[in-house]
Amino acid sequence: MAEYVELHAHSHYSFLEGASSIEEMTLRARELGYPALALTDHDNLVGAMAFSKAARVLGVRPITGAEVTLAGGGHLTLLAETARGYANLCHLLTLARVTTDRREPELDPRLLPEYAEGLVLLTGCPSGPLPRALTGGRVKEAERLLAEYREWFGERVYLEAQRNLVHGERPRIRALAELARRTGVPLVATNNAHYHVPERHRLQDCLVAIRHRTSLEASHRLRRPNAEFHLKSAGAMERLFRELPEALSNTLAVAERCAFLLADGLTYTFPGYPTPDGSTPQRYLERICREAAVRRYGAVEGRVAERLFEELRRIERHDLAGFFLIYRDIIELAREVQVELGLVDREIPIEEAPPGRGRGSSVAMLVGYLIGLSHIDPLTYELSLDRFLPDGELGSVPDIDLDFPREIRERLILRVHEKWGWEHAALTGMVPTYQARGAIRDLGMALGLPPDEVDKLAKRVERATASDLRAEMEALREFAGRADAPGWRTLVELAAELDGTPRTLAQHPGGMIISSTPLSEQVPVQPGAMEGRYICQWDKDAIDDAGFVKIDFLALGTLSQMQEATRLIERRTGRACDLSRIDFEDPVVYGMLGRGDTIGIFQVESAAQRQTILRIRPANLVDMAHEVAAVRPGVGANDGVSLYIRRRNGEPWCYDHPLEATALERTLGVILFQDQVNQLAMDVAGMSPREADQLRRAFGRRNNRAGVLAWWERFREGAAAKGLDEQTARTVFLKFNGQYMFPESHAFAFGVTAYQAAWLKAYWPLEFFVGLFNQQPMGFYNLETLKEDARRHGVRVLHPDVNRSAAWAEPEGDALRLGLGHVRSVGQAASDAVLRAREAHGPFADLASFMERTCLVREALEQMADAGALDALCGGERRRVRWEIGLRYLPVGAQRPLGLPVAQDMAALPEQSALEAAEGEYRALGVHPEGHLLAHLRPTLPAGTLTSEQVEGAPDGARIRVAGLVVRRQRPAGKAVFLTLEDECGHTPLVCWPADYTRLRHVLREPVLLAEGTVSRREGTMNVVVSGASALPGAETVGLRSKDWG
Amino acid sequence: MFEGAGAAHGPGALRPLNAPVPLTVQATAAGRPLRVHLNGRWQVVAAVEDAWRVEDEWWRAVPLSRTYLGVLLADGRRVTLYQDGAGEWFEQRYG
Repeated sequence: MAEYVELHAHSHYSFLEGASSIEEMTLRARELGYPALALTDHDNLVGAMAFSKAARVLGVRPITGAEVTLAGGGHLTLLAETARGYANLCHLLTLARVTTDRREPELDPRLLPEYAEGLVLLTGCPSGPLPRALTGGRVKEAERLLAEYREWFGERVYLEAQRNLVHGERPRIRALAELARRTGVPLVATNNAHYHVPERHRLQDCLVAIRHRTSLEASHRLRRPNAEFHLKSAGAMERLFRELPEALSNTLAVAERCAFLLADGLTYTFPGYPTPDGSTPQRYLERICREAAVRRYGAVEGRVAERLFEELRRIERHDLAGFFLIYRDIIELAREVQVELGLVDREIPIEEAPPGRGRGSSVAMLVGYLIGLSHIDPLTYELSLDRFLPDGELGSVPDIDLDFPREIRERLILRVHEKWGWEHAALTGMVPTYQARGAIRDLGMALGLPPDEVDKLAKRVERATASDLRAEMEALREFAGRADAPGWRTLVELAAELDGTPRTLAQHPGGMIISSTPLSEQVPVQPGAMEGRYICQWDKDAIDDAGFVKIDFLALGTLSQMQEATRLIERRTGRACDLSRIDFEDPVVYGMLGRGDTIGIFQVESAAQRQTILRIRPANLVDMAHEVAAVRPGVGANDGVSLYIRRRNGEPWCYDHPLEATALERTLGVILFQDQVNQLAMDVAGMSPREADQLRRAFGRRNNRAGVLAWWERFREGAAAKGLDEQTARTVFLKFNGQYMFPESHAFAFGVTAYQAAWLKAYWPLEFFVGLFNQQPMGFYNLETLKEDARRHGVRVLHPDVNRSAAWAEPEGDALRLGLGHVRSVGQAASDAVLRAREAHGPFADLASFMERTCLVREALEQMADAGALDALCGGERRRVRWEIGLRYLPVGAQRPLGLPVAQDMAALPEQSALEAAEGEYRALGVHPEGHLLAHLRPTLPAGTLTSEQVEGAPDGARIRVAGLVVRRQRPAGKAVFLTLEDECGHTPLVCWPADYTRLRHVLREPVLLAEGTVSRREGTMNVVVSGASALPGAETVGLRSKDWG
Repeated sequence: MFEGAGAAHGPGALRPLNAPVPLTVQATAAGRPLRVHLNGRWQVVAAVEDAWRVEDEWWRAVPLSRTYLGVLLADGRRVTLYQDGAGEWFEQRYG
């Protein structure tokens, strides 16, 4: 019976080229009885680790390879025979990108001899240099190339013969066979597989069209001519190569020699740490921790000494001292950046003004607190070490995540590259995948569907996944019944196939890996989209599987906001504002939080958090940690939020078993934190810390029902040994779920940050809102909502003004003056031009001199007029100033405008109404600084329409009508839809149940609504249950967007 | 305007280039052509030099599915034939 191994196969990591996933390719290989399979994606190893794992699980031996693009055109197929070969492949793929355009990699063939060791070379597809020479009848050239390959790769060269039933193939294969006969170089058959089954060729055709930004109709010559590029059985290949049986048997020989297995063959090591005093990293870490502890606590004694001793013992046991010291170096680098940016004086100690702060479970480490990795004292909150650094065996090196203000993080990444070099430090990759909207848009273009209709459908679908577009279309009035229409049916079918397909390799938001051995021997590295950044070709899962240490530097907008606010406070008061020394028990701050006055405050501003905080009413940082942790899917999954709040407010409760007490006592028997899952598994079922952690992770894995069942068996047995009956054990086990929850220390870290932001809002609202305005986009609300909230806190927001504004928002007395950069179409260059001109020759007297001195383009001038930024030059007559811009403006490149008189050409224009002016501001700024749209619309609303303030006072069950801007739509778990309406008085929360939503779905997407419903008051919260709604006419020109479905 | 411009106007005046020409072919049950009826005479097929498949336009109402053959005739001429999904034979240049 014939045997065959496919040595040339592409997965969907050959971006917009391969049409099947790794799982599909590997499963099909197993079905076809392949003993091995080579993955040879184009110019990358992005899927190599996932392939290696999946294939081994399925009993198919994975061969790691790539199809490389050569400078001057053409491809070669390279397979890793040994670990050295794999390292060389990584080098070559890296060099192909760092020496040319990162998006269009090309390998200089002259690099091949240096990196040939351990690699098997197949001469490539028909576009390879050698097959191309043969096709062109240039036999001598083909022989010369083959001789070169032999010189470089020795006997690891194979002539690659592909039989995909395409034009010109037979003569080429005949020529290859003849060359093989003459030279003795073996022939090997491959099928250049781009999908696992023939039916997938339709998607492959579409991907090619999408890659070239064109349609199927217009891409005839770019696409493959038939559906023969799938994984084929040995029998099918035997028929195709009937006359060349050795080409098939040679595939087995090649597979045999490629013994390298990726997951086993890596040589990664985390860098060692050369200490400045020559001591061991452990002793050095101990010394700096003790010194810092003396500064913090006055002496190292009592609880401090005990905890420090225990942590250092565990660090020594796991050999992690160097690991912590490298993090300390990174913090020191961040500190340098902080000083360079002028964000802190060099004299202020790092612990007074740390450049960043930790998040995640690492915050539980006192060592982290002492060396500047975190901002909260774990002793104060009795944070447990066990989740981050268990005493027993470690499953993997722990993750430490660090948050930084945006500007520090940007420079820090470059600084880390500089310190370690891109060959030793690179950013983690990330692979964005197709979801519903992208699939509809791209497939719609490929299929030639009407662009307007495609755009409309893309905008209206609600579910992120494209797996059931038919259901989405049926739910939409305009598309109901069209899912079977020609073209659209194909879209529905292919969207399901495209769903989840990777689009490209991008940069992870903050993960970096650092290696002492050259990284480019472990995984290919490539330049990032941003200058000076380098990305490795693996995502976080592959990096985890490889055992690399990932360091996460994350940009946190709220830190930038707080940093700006404290700088402004210092400017106003002349005193430094140290947020680590504020009163963390301040009733004024907790009073504000307990009223749900949380817009703009990190972690507690969402509609769900605002509802919850009204009922939790935090009074200290422990409560804050519980508040930020409670509104998480993993807590909500078992109705935990509601249960916790009811118990907190006095409802009697008891444990399901006394063994739960240690884990759940502090959260009233409810699981709020990840750590509590681990603790329960240890206390109730006697698991080791490592086992407990594995149990928790098993719940989080997708499609892991079998894994969870296995853990249930282990849990049940362990619980029985501790005396629990099966029913009780099951009750405890059912409290676990795979949804996301915070680790406890992370909740404390975020709770403290949230409190600090709240403190700023309570005492320094102007500085708080300036920082917030300047960090947009961030958080849950648009500028209009933030402006309304600023007004409620006594902060007046002023138009931008070309004679007063800076580039961004600044305090002006007690008001907030918007910056020129807030005006749409006014970029950095235009803003700089205005500021330079003003600085050079003083304020602008009139429009003529403004245009003459700044030379702004017309669009920017008109947007400035609509935004009110030119009011000072025209007495606030915006229609007149627009007319004058038209008279004076000369296109770019024309002679500079002269301030000639235009009075003779000015027309008598009707005065702009207040609503028209507001609409202009919304379009130009996204905010109406000194009013609210609803105040203008109110006279036109039906009699009896309540303001949000009046709704607040309406009794339970009252039928009411209310109008407002939709500032938020949410649909948790696809159930009820929650909206927030905003008017000139405040907010009204709406809830729409699924049956009503089906009926009102189209209306509820409108930006400004008139809603009817019933007031529902429950457990201290109020909602209006919507029964009817209509769009408000005249508001469609505003163009405000709510932040939906977040 | 060039002389003769506009002569292609009117129904039927535009003719596609390289349109397939129906052909009578004697072939084996497996589809290998033995004789081709060209220019009013039967020509023996000396060799099938190349064979390839085209599957395209699958998004249209009638998808395209053809098996092309590059054949050498006994008189030394080379022609390209294809058989469509319905088993009909045509001659058409390719490429």
